[in-house]
Amino acid sequence: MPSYYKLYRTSTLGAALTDSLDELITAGHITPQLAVQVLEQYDKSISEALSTKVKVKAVMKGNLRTYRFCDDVWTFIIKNPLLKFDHEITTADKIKIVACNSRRPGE
Amino acid sequence: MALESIDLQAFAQALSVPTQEALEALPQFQRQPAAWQFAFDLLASSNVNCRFYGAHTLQVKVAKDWDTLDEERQHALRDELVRLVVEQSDAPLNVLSKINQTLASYALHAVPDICNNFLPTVINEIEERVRSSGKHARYAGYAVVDFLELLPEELNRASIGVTQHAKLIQDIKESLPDVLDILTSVVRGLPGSRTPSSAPEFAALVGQDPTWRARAWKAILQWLQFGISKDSLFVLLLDMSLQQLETMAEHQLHDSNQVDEDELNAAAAAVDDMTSNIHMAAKHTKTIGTLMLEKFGQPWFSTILELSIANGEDQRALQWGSMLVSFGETYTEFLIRKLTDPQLSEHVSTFLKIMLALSGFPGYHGITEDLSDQPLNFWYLLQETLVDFLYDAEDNPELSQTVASTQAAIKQVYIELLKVLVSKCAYPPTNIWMDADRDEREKFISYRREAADALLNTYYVLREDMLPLLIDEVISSMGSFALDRWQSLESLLFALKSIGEAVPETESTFLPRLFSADLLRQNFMPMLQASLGSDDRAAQWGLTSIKTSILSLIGAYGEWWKGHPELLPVAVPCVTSSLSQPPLVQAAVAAFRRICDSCRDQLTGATGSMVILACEVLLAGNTVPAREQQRIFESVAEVSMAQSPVNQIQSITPLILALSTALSKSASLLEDAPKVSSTSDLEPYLAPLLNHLRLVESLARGFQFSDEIEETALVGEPESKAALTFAAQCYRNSRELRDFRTTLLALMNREVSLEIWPRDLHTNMVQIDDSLLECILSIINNSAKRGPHVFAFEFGDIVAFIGNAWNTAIARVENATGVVIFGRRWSDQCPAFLQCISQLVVVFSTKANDWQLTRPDIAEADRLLGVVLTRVIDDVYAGISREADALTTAIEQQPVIAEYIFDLCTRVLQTRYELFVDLEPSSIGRLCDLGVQALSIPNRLALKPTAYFLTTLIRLSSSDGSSSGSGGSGSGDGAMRNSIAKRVAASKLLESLWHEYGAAWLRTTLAAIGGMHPRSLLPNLSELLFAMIRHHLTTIRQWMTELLSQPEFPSPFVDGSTKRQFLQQILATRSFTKAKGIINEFSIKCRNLQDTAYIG
Repeated sequence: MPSYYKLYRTSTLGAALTDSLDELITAGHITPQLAVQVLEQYDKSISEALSTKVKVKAVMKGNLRTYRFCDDVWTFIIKNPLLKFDHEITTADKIKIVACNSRRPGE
Repeated sequence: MALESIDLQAFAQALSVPTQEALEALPQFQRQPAAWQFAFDLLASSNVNCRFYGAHTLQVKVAKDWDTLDEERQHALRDELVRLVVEQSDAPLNVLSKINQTLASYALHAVPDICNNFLPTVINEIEERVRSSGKHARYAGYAVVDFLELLPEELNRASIGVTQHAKLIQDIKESLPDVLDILTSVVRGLPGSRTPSSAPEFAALVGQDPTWRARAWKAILQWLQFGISKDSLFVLLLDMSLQQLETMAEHQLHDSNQVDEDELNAAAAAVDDMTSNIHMAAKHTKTIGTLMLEKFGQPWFSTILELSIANGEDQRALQWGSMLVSFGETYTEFLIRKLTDPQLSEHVSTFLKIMLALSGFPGYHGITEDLSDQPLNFWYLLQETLVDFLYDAEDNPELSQTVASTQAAIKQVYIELLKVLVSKCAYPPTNIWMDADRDEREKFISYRREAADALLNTYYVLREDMLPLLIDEVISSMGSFALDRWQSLESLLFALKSIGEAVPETESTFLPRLFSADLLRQNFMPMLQASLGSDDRAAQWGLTSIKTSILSLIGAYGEWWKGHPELLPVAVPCVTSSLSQPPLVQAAVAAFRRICDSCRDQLTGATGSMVILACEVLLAGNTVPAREQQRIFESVAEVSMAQSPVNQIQSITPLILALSTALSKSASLLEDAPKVSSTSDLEPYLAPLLNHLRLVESLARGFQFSDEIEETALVGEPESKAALTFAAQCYRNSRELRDFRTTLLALMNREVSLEIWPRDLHTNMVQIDDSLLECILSIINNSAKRGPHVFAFEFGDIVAFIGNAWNTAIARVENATGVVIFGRRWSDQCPAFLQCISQLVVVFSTKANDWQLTRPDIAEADRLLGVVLTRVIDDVYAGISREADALTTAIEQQPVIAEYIFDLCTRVLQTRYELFVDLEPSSIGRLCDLGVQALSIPNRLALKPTAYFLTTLIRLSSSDGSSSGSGGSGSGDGAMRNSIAKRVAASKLLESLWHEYGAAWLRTTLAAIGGMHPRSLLPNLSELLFAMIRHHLTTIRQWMTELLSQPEFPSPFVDGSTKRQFLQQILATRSFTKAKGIINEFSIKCRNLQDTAYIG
């Protein structure tokens, strides 16, 4: 299986999955190898779902405070962003956008 | 079926049917060693089902039981599998595919260690064996193409080690030229193409069948993902693919049935993939770009696309168009640079014309076509690339001629795009719209949003050239407007609205023509006021749409009105006069708010009329929906803040008086309401009061001074300080405002006692939901600010109100017999109370400023806040305890209350930790106890704020951590001495808390890290443990040594040496990042998860 980004593992969903897998391994219900497969499948499924199933668009305005491009990963830190969704507007003090190439080099 | 005594012959017989029982038993049987031989036996059968299940069993064995084979058998298996592939090459496809899948599973394990150069070897063997077996050569083709299509899929699905995966890919990639040679030979079997003479015979034979050509295309797409390392091969492959597409197009144009849809789809997908390969695009922009442009510029391409467009065949147009879009998105820079190139400009121009044709695909997007949104992103990328191009060329005078001609050419394209987009954004005729289902309508609306972005991009290219194009059209359409053709005008208004945010407020050439006072009065206003004599649904829809678009257009140019204040007296009435028309209210209020937000200073003179408008809205009752009324009130309040306090009070007084009267009436209505049995019956009595209180809340939100003036006043800027102090005095001394505040406070107190928690609770408790209390507390929150506020209550009054409300709630809960129900209701209200108290702490416990006239001296404020906090902590503790016998269970049932109480206490520590001295020692004890319990349960909601509270407390509890985060110093030496004394006392108190509870906090934290809590909570626990170590190293060393010397603590999986190592490392580090790593590693060991691929 080609490798997918692991960055969604720290999301609420990914953290909950990791916690559950920890529990299952500790209780001896599954092997660590199976847990690895589950997490890899999660990496794949969440990437695919986010790119194909999510249709919501948002418009964002704010002050770009910091940006960097390191190891093929863009990072933007936006101060006082204003996020406009279809039926909602929300604000925050600052947000961090981490953007990776949708197709990793060599793939 | 018992596996021990299974009769294999009978089992095979059952699989030949196959029976349900046999299929259920098969997976279990496949785990047995005997399944190896059984698979071969089944494959020797003449029954197709038996052969399929034989192949299936063999595939399962190879995939899962590979390690049970010895080395000799592993080597021999390849030969057997190739033999089976050849044997089954004339079998039904499902059997052949299954045995090929087995061969692919074999490759995953065996390549390259057992068998290298795998693909060429296997393909040659298949070809030779088919020949020697006397079978027709095309069977070799079936076997090979099927295998080549399956292998990449299996590679994608395989879960093998990283090293094996890398070695396997390397071996496979080396064979890629041979693989592509075979597959391209197959696809060139299309009639009209030329199969190379060097192609294997089997490839030429299989290539005669469109189904197999489609499979070969799919296989090419699969193999492309491995990356073609040889660039020339990639270009050749692309060239060949484009030639094949040309041949297919010729067939389609001549209605030949030589090409099926599947083949064309597969070929288009492969080309699409190649054209969007950014690495190749970066390396060979010119070669590939030129090749593609030359192909796309040929007549066959435009003819087939035009034909598809003319016939409205969006699926076919999509097939061809998506390649074009992918190319366009990947090669935008190339396109811009070649736009004026003598050799390629014509091709670029043709390409852009095709893109325009795709953008303007006939029909209504989402309803009658689904294609026209595809190129929208391309237009955005092209505009962005143009900006980069112009920027790069800025300092190069040699390029000025090129730049000018490129810009001119691009502008022509975007002018065409503007026309296309405007026409595509037009709503369909009524009959089509009415027949469309909800999904289709939403798709169309969503398309309009995307088109609006593209219109904005168009504006960035055309700038001032775009406005006259639209404005002239709008003026002309308005002059000759007919309701049966409303769509075209609406679309123009929509386009103009879409670019509103980008048009500078200084624009004074074109917009004044549209928004002139005359046009506003003579065209816009009559159109907004127009009504129809009949109930014609289509006409009503058209008129409402036009009116809504006009209002949105006026709102979208909020910033522009700011630069043209002389037009506001005409523009604002256009908006406000529409408030009386229910279908327009939402758009009118949105436009009103946009104008108020942008033109606050410019509208100062109009505050009086805006107040009159708000009064009318209030009196009109339900004509304007409640939410929209609130928005209007908030905007009016915001605009009034631009006036001097004296003028402001004068202008808002009529509104305050009207609201006061309305509040009294609505309160009486509720208080006199008859006894009703359900919430819905109570609604007519409750809704007016709730709405009027929400209007007060909206005003309270709007009457805020800007952050800027507050911040400058806080740092001592005299002008700001004077302005705030003067405002505070005016607000305090105004008789009208004072009366209103008194009335409001009395009303709020009365409603809490009479309606929210009435004495005859049993009969009335179901009648009022929590929205009334939440609204009242929100009014307090929004008016209790550090700056002056029109509704600022005296601190003592607020405390008395909160105390009254809280006491009433607690008393009712304690007295009621249905404790559970009332307790639940109290817990639902509790977060709103705690949030409100948190706000009071921030406003009234920090340094007193000259303009804070409603607060007492610091000692009195501390005393009162101390009383409030003590009571709240005690009651919350009691309230949570009531939920269950064990406190931990109770917290699990009420994590939100734990969350809010610890948030409040953290806020106290951060704002003025000296307040802890004013708390009762027993209450502090309860809080600390609650902390231990909340820390010991893996409930994220409760644990995170608890850990943060304890971290903050621990940081302040050491002698070096208590010097920050505190205000409240008064004036004079005595006050200063008191302040210092109190700070010292608070530090001592916090330190004593550490000594009393620290060991328990540490024990719980270590247990949680050691596996009691999920790993996702480690960041919070690490921060807490690090704070303990950082601020109390000596005590923590002793306590940790004692705790970790206990057997099986914090986990049975870590031995003494691991714990000692952890202790040494964690106590030695001063870096939080390192500490997190150490804690994480220790936690993994405690969970016995170390040294597994899972953690690695």
